[in-house]
Amino acid sequence: MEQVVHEVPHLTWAAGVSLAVLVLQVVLLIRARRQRALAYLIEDSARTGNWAPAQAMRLPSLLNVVAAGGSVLFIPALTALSLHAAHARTLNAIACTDPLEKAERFSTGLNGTMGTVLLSISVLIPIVLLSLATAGLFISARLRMRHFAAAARLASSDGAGTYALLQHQLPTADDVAMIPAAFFAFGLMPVIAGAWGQATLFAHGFSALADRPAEEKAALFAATIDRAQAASALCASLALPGTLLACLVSVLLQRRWARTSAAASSDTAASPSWRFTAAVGLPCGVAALVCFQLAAPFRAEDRLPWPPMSASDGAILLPPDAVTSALVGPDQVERGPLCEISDSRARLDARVVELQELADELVTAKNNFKLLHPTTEFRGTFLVLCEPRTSIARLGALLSTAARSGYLSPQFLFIRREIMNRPILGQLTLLHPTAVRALLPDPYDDETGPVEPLNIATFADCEQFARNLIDLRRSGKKVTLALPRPANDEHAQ
Amino acid sequence: MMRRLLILTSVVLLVLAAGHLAFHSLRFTGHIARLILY
Repeated sequence: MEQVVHEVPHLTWAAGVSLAVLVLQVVLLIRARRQRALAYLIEDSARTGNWAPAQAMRLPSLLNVVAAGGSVLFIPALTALSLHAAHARTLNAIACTDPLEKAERFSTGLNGTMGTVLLSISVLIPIVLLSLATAGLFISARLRMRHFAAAARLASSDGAGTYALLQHQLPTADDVAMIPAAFFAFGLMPVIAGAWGQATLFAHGFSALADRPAEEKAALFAATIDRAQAASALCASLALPGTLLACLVSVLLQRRWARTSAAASSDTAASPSWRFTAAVGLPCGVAALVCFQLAAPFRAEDRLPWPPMSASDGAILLPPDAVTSALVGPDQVERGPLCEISDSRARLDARVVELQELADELVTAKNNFKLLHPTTEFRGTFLVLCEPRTSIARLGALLSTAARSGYLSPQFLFIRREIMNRPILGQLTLLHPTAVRALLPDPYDDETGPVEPLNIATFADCEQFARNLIDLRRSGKKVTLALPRPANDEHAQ
Repeated sequence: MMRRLLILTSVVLLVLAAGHLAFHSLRFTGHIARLILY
């Protein structure tokens, strides 16, 4: 948590306010316990005929209850703000072209989201329990004090009335807190447990990606999200019967209290006043409508399915501004250095480079690969994003440069763009890559089948070359490219 | 009894609405995480 708070500044504020609310609840609880002790003192005195404490006391203000209950609302409000900020950070990552910056922003955003969920759950449970205890103590003390103040007023005039009031059983703090506690336990706890489960499964699933092969990560990532969401849906589905159970509990409790009250005194068993009903019912009803209204776009987002993922989706980080031919390659996208080439520029992993520089970087990448993956065979795969009208000489220069650096297995990528309009996330352009594989003379290649030589110099541009390569690959042939003479490098520079 | 029922109904509605909002906003976290795949 410390790490997350450090990375996401708004979580520091959320943690600070949560701590302040927690302290306020503890202070209110201490005050409520004092009021309860005073109420029992008044009751004991009244039962022994000493009405002085009942006549002298001042009723504890309902503002204490409002403060105890109202301050709880800070937590969902803070959670909403904090999640909003974390989501904004994640969304900012989408447009990033620099892979490192994109990964960093995504990581910070997701850390913020996870941190917010875990922080709010961790503080919500103790704060709700404290506020229930405080409200229970205050309300039962207030009822007790009001009751014995009424008895004190009657004491000199109406002996029967005073007797009835003294016989009346008053609800304890536990009785008062029981109904909201039932709603919290059976109604909201399943949702909270689901949130906890979802956050835990996310964290577990994401950390488990660390030691998996790179090509499996995207599918595992998507499966982790599905599994975590299914778990939270299962928990939340318990909330509806749980709420009905809480209703049943509250009706039974009401009936029991009504019976005991009626047995002692008919007039004190009266229903709550219309004013009290409106004071409780209206804010609850309005808050419920607001919650339903706020949930509507999230629900719409939830109900709109995502397009199915192919094995190649998510395998690599694609620059959003890349332009390729509108073709579909027959091969699965593998991982490797991503080279973009056009007549005007060359980029390696989204950084603009000169071809000579690219050769040096590829050699470095190859050496790093061997250091980082000592037990994995280096296959020399590199990815090429070629603008359709790029001259074949320019492409040939890139391939020659890569071949000289030890990369002998080019994969030409084609990006299909899918525009999605989502209720909250807005218009998204989803990038679906496909690939076609070719070979420069490759001693490590284990693919079998007839070899088809393809002289790239016979084509005018990248698109024409790619179409022919795809046709050959679709007919099941392994294609080895014949490259132009090294003299063409000068043209490319 | 009617007034008790009104209070109970409004509280039930609030609990359901709060759970509904919490549930869907939490699931949104999953949707936003999925964006990294595209």
